Amino acid sequence: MDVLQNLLDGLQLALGAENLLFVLLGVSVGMMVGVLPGLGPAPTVALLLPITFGLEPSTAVILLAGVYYGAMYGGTITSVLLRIPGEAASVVSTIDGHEMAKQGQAGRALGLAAIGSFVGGLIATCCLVLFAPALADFALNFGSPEYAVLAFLGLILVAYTSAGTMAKSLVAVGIGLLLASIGQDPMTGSSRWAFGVPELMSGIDVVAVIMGLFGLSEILVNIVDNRRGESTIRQVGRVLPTGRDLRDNAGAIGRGSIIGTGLGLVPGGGGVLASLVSYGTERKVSRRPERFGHGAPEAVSGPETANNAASISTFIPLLTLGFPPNGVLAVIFGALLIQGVTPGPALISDHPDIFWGVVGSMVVGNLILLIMNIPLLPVFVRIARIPPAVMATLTVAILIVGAYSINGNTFDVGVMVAAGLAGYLLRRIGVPPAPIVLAFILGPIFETNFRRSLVLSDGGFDIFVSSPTAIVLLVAAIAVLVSTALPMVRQRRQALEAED
Amino acid sequence: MKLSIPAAAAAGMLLVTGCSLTEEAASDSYPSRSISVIVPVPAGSSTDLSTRILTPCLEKELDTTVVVENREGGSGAVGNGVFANAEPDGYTLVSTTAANAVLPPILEGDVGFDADSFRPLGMIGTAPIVLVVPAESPFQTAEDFFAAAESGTVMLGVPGTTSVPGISANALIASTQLGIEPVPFDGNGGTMNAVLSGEVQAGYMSADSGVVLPRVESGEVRVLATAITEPIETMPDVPTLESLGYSDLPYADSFWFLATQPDTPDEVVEVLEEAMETCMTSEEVVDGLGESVAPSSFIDGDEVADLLQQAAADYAEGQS
Repeated sequence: MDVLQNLLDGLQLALGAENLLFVLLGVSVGMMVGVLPGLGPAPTVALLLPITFGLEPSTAVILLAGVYYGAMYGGTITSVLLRIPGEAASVVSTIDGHEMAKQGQAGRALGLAAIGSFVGGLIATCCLVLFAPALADFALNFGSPEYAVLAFLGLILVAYTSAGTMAKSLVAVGIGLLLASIGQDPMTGSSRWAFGVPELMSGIDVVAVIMGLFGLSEILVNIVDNRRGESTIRQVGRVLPTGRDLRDNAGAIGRGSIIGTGLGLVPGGGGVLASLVSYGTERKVSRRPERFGHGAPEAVSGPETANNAASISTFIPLLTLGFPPNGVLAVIFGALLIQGVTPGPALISDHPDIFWGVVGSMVVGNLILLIMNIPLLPVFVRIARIPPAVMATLTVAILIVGAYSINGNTFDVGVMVAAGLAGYLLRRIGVPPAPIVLAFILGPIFETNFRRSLVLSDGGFDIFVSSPTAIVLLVAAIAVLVSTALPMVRQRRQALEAED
Repeated sequence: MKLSIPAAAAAGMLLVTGCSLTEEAASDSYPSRSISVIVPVPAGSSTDLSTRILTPCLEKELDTTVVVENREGGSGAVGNGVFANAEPDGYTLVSTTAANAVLPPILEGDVGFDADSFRPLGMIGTAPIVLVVPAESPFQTAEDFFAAAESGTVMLGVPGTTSVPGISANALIASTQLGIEPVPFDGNGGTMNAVLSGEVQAGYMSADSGVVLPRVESGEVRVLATAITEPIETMPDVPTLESLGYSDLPYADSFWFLATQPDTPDEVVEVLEEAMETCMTSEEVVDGLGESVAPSSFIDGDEVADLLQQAAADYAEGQS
């Protein structure tokens, strides 16, 4: 068994002293930021980016991935106890989770969420193991037209699935595309929007933009809004769920795993979308939907399973196609680029240590989180009360040093600060930052492959329907575009628009 | 009169060495502190790696610390700009490819430096351009390739329009009116993938030790021709484009060199050039760079300066 052997190698890599240390560090930091209201996984991963410069590529990804799924575990705690989402993907747990806490069942809610997250995480990791290598093999045959159509589909899905209104997501995508066009024209080499500034000639650094848009703007929003929670919950109660509880929630956890794994693959998807869809599904299949909103355990276990599964399956498109489906993965994309590794179909075969090491670390990391979650609960509750002034000062300092250390120049610090201020203003008018970054990454992939295809076909657009893969992807893109006009889908989007 | 021991020793030395000391005062004091070598491309690129093979030897020869500083951005414009604006005292050197030294001002206008901003101290390495096809290609020889380009259109992958091969390919097409369509990909890696997957029929790229040479050795790709004037030592049977009748092409050898600013005092330049010659002929550096990268004999500053001027003229023509 090749897969089994690779998986064992991966586990061995993950259990090596250094990697184990960074898995532990990653999931602990993830738990912490998940618990801290306001600071979500995307800004945290951006903050930690400079630390990864000196690490092995596999260790770098192991650390950042740990933060991501760690945050999915941690976010539940704040949602349940303080009724404010520790991070966006736990927002639905503020409803029934907090109701359960008020009824003295906080421990039960958190225990079920942790076990669900663990199961969801393992199932998504299995899918990563089973499908990613095959998908990568398939994608190796992608030529320029297939990549162009795939990036086109990705851009549409990013606009479609992002939080906020469709119009504002499209504005965000537009901004991202415009920023990406700064620098050298990929085909002719002439410079665009550089205005004779040498630093702009090779384009602006994606990592600096991410640090500003996710990191700095998030901190500014937190300072201005003074987001902080006070816990009124004194009684946590029994954490370990009973056998009966597990049986009752098995369905929700199973469905959550599938929904999460599936939605993690979609560009623009990930934890938030997965937990919302899982909540809706559970309410629909429940025999007693009237309990929802009043402390239904499935309304916590399902969505919390789904967001963790999604946080892991989002790695499939990144590691097989080189497409980061959401903001966190965009940062990890940047981390790999800095390491000289270009994520794409060749990654699994060229850098098996990265792929299998990360897979192994996910198994180890989820296990650590499950074990850590239960005894350390009181510690994490206290972390949620660190004064925002201390946190903000510290994080801004890290961001500035981090931006400087990308290329060792102050220009990137300027880019980071500018992106942070712009991101703050855009958030204020409801334009989300994630589509900007995703379009910033997908835009050049689309442009280069689109224009290269036209060179290869001597200007004929028939090249985009010249292979079955391209046709399928193109049909999917058109279907998504058309579906936005359907009334049923419009209603679905209302739910997303409400969340932001 | 009281004299401290070091002062007495110094006075004694002054008597012994006499007038020669006053003459060479300037060069004797150089280098008195650490020297930084700016590399205007990211760490890990072939220019960077070969610079890092060279600097330990320079440290030994110059008896001071030599620090490699990566200042990437703007296809070399950022790092070369920093270098050109630095004090011309021999403490800020640069290690750059000819393309990164001369292309930004041609493409962008005023970037604060041009080919005259460099006083080369010696060649570090070269990577000749090669014309490659996948093993299963119907083109067995360069003649097959050019015959196809005369009767139809051949798709030729290049690692970027403003890369050295990209410019060289444009010049080849302009001077021959052949049916060759250059298709730019992302660097040597992307171009090689396109060649291997058959998206393009051939590739025109620098024979680097990371991407191209291993695949030539493994037989995945075949080298049909080289674009430099002399056959490559490691591939003596591969014809040059010139021998096939395609002459007057831009200088098609990607090369990189160590340089200081033109206003650097002559005695400092002498010290540096001497150290450079010693290192570039030392076994440790030549072996470290590898046979396909290191020049077969030392190419000194004046020679590099001529090549650089020639490259600037060729590129300016290729761009117009």
